[in-house]
Amino acid sequence: MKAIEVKNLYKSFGSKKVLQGVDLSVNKGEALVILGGSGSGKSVLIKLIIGLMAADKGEIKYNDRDLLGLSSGGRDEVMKKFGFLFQGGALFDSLKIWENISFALYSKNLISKKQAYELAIKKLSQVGLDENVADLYPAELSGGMQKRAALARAISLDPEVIFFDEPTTGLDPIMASIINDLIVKTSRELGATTVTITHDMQSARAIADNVAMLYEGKIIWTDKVKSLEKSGNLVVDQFFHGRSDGPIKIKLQDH
Amino acid sequence: MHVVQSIGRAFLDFLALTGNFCIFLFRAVFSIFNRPIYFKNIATQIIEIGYYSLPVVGLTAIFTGAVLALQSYSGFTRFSAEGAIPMVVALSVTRELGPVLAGLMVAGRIGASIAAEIGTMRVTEQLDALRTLSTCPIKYLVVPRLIAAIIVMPCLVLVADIIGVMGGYLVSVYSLHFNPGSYLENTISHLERIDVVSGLVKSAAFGFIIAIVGCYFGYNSDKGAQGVGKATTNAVVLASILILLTNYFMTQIFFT
Repeated sequence: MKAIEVKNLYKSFGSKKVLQGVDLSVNKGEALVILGGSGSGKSVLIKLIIGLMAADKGEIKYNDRDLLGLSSGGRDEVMKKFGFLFQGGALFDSLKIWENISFALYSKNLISKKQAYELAIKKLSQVGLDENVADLYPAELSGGMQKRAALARAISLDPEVIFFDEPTTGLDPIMASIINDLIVKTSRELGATTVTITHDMQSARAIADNVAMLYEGKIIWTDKVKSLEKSGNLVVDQFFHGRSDGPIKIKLQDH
Repeated sequence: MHVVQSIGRAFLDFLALTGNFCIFLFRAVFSIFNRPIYFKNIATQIIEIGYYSLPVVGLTAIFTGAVLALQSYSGFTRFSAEGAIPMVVALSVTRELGPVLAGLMVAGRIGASIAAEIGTMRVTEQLDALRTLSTCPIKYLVVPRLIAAIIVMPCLVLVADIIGVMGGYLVSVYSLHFNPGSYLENTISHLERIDVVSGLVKSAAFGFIIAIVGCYFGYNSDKGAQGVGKATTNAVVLASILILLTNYFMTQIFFT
């Protein structure tokens, strides 16, 4: 059964056409990685799926439910089924780590302070962080620890679908590998569907069941992760091997 | 042709800013009457906007009252009207200088801080993060600041009124050798309820302006440090202009 289904999705910013008819589907429990170069529209695509941006045209469904026509109340309900790990973590600076993690419930007084703290400790242990971290502020943590704390927040409501926006960007190779392992571990524990966008091939191989390639506003190739090396697609091949020659032309200057 | 294009573009930008600002204002005001209300955030903002602004507002008020007494004295002695100084100080401070100067000082301190904080949250995707956690950023960030500013500004201005009149009193009594008893009696006898109330009503409006303008520019901040800096400057400039403009119209409503 399909968890996420995107059909004929379009998005432009002024005259710049970012997405030009994206078709994509993610099965329940699947780990999909969307590859694409910088500025290819990967972040825009997942922000459209979770409703942080409005699409120009197209269809986005979650469990066969149309997401584009939802009221704000309906959107809030669906958001509880989604978790999102931002590229920079996006932890709230003014709140302690435990308040960040249990934010969705504690900020609306749906649980007591004690329950919120216990929830945060549980989620911190799931991402391999010590409970001492709970009382610190985000600025007091290293980049890798912030990413883990942000992951703890993303899984705080045991989501059915988790989105990862460039989860290993800015991390050293060892920390990147730790984050990749954590993503696999936590999503398996929750039985969650995951959609990850990245241009880190190592991360893609570690996380993905299936891989999709976004190029010139469309998904041009989708297959199992093991097919990535011998895709038979010139664009995917160039991207995978990081060659400067090939169909992908990088603009060095806008003007 | 180039000049005409520039004027046209500036006019269109102004219309876009006005339209977007009105939409934001409507959404914020509408959200005040909708649940959930984040009482903890309101309390935090009351302390941030009110308590921490007390020193700067107090200092401004005491020197304003003192200077007003000195200036009035130097002018009024020319036609032997020194007796009017207590009344001039009291009316000027409560009707105009208290609310306007407190408003401008708070616009500089709080308007800038609100724009910078929310702007940084925009740049670091914290506003998006709120939405992924089923939390409306306007309800969580904007509404508490609006409510706190509306509540706190009249309190600040009341304190500024008292300190401002005290500033005038201290200078008049200890420097210009006025009789303390008759100075206070003059002040109280000439002061009417409308003088104080009009200042407090004005200050509530100024609080609303400072908070909504700061939130608007922070919420719509461009990316990067430059974007946040620009949002902060715009917030202070626009809030100050709107305060002066609103003050003129409210004075006309109250006293003509």
